[in-house]
Amino acid sequence: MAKKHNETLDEIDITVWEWVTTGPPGKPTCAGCHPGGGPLEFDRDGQRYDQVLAANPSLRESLDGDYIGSHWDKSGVLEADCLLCHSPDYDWKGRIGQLKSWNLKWAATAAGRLGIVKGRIFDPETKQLTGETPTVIYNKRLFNEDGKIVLDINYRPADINCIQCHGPSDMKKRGFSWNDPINPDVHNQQGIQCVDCHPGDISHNFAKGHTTIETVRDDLDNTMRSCEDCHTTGYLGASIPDHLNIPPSHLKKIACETCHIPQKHRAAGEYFDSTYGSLHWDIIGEAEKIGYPTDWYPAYEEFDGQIHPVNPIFGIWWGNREADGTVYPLFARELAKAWEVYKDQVTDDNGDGFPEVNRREEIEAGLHALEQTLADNARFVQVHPVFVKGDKLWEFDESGALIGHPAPECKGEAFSISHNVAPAKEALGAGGCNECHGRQGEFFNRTHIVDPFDENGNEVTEPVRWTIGISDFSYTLCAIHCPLVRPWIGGLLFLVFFATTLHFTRYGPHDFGGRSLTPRPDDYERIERYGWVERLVHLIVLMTFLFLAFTGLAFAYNGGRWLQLVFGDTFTPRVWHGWLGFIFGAGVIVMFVLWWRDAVLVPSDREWLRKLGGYLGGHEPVPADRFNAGQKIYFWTVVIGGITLLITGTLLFFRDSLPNDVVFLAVIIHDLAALFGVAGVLSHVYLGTAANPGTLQAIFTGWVTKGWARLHHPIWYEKITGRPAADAPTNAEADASDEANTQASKERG
Amino acid sequence: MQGRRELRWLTTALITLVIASNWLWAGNALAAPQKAGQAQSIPKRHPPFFLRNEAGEVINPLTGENANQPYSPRQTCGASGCHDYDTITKGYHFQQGGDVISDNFDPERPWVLSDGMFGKF
Repeated sequence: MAKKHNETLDEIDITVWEWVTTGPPGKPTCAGCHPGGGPLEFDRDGQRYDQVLAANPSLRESLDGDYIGSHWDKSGVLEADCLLCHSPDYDWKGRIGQLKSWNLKWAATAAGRLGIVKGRIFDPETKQLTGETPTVIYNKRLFNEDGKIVLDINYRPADINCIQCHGPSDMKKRGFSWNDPINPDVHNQQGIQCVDCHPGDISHNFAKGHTTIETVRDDLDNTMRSCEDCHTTGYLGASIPDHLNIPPSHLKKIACETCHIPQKHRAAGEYFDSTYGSLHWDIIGEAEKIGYPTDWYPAYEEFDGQIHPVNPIFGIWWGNREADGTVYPLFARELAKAWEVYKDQVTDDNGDGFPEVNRREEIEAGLHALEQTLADNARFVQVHPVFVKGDKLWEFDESGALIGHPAPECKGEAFSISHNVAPAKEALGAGGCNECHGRQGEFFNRTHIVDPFDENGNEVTEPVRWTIGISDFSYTLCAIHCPLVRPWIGGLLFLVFFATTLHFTRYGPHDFGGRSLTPRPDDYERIERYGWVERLVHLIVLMTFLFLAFTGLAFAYNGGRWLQLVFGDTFTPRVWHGWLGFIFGAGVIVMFVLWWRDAVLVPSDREWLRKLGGYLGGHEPVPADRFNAGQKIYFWTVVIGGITLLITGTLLFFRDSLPNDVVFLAVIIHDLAALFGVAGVLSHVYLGTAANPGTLQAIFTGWVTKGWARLHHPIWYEKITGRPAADAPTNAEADASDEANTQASKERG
Repeated sequence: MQGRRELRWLTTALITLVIASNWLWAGNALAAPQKAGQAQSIPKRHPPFFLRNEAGEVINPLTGENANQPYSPRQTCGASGCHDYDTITKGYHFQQGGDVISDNFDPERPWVLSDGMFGKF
């Protein structure tokens, strides 16, 4: 808009008068939607336009942005038209016709359908003043005998009154429509009206949401009824979802609209191009016009700490870099003038019927044309045109060579999407995690346009996941992990259970082929295997792991209902999971300090490993120190896995302040480490109980019998007692004993 | 004697119960959210009113009084204190940045004169 005070005609773009009265053919003027009053009644000095101009007609020829070229003295001013919002029968197109005819003070009467306005001040077709003074013929049927009018006036503006203005503009920006079976909104279908969520007050300041780009009255942002306001209280009969199967991190990080507006069904704008001096809109999808039926998916952006659906409309425009470095967008008339100079040098490379500036020589031609046409433009101290496409800017350097460089400051903001909400059953994720996280998941795989035409005229897109900070690496990892690895690891737990049961069925307790050691008198004497600190630490790690495993599995497999059943809600176990995870991690570290010396692998462990500890048969005791080779390997696995869980768990504890990619990777690694950990612990429990009788008590009471030690840990036995364990039966003795037993059985039989 | 005491106790308990349940019911009724559009003070139909021209004069097409003139929302709706036109038009739908518009609104982007549609572009 033109400034109030201007020094040259070149500075003036659209004036207040043009803002009110001028619009493209078939399109409204800006004041078509502006309801009047305020700045359409009073100028920037607070004076009525018509009175000021009538008193000083020379202002019409001045450089005053409020008055230049205006005819306020004939048209009157545009007072606030109450019926624009409060009459369900309002004739919006009639209002626009009156404005374009400069019948400003007659517009409310005509558009309110109170009567017929005859005559017009200006003929928009011939662009001539008519010399007429419009008159009104009122519809007498609307009047009582006493001369009072009876009108159908809504206290609460009806949806149609809001949509007549917000509909067309938001259709272009967001594919928004209301009361539309093709592009439905579940709230509209439930009879919710605009003002139910956007209530107003006597000062007519309607409650606002918080979108990416709207800036007026930011102090009113987030004053409207939010999703939570109704869907946690049941206001107006709203459903109260429990979202038990949705990870809380999703509810925190992802806006409701992201999942609940999975798709739009009316064409919005995809990019605009101001090259020709008029705004050319390209349309999303295959639709011929904006608003036509088509299906498209929103892109996503993170703002206010949440991922929101957006339509990232891509902008192509031209500017001039002033002496102070500021890039001024050029006016339409300036672009149109330049276009006439170089339009023959620009071709339509993508065949959409519109020539596009995409090749270097075309950009150079445009910049040269602007250098030529802006040369005598008085609004610039320096003529240095630039071409902007999205977040890239091209200009000539000091040597006159064309250079292109990133200019994120030139990129417009995306339009956030918050209407046309789908029913819950159609929301993203209603079909399970893989709907988004799977390899075919649309959420991360969708693309959005980053360049409508490259040098060859081809559209360039990039995955939406990049805009929300998810790298290809972590996405690929997730795409493998979620649909493939996680279910198989879940199956691994059952496989471990099955394998241990099978092992026990085949081999029974681990007693080296059922042989007994040659009895010694002190075999039943107790010796200490674990001190109280070791037992306490093991107990802490065990108990915390059990809790973490139960809750963690519930988190991983969306077992919100289990958690609610046990804990009453799903929030408490998540808090506890975090804090107990730190205790578990600390326990693992203490275990490392206590046992690492005993867990160092030594040459004698090779024999244990070669014989697989005798777990698959064998009659000979195998060498084992305090810990056998299997326990040592398990120990190091626990240490590495525990520390991995501690590190990734710590990252997840502070997930809100970390990049999405880091969180994504941490979740996957944490998940894998935990699932393998659970499988390992199942095996550990089997080996410590059924597979090795007499072992379990050691970790709780601290003692074992010398006989147990001789059998299972002969090297450790020798170190503790100073006596050799070698009198354990040899193979030959065992075989002889077998034969003797067999013979004795036969004799008894 | 014992029976009378029990009867008195039962009667007192019953009355207390009735009062308490009544109080609870009333409390719930007050706490229940008011449904949109059902506020008692909102008239269903706007009462008949005189149209007025810019000078504040009545327009009466039946008598011909100022009958060829457009009505003025300021004079008609804001007449006799019916509606506070000046307060209403300070709302952001009416101002659209007009209340903050200035030639020096944004020194970094000098072409932006306000935060609303009126001056933002």
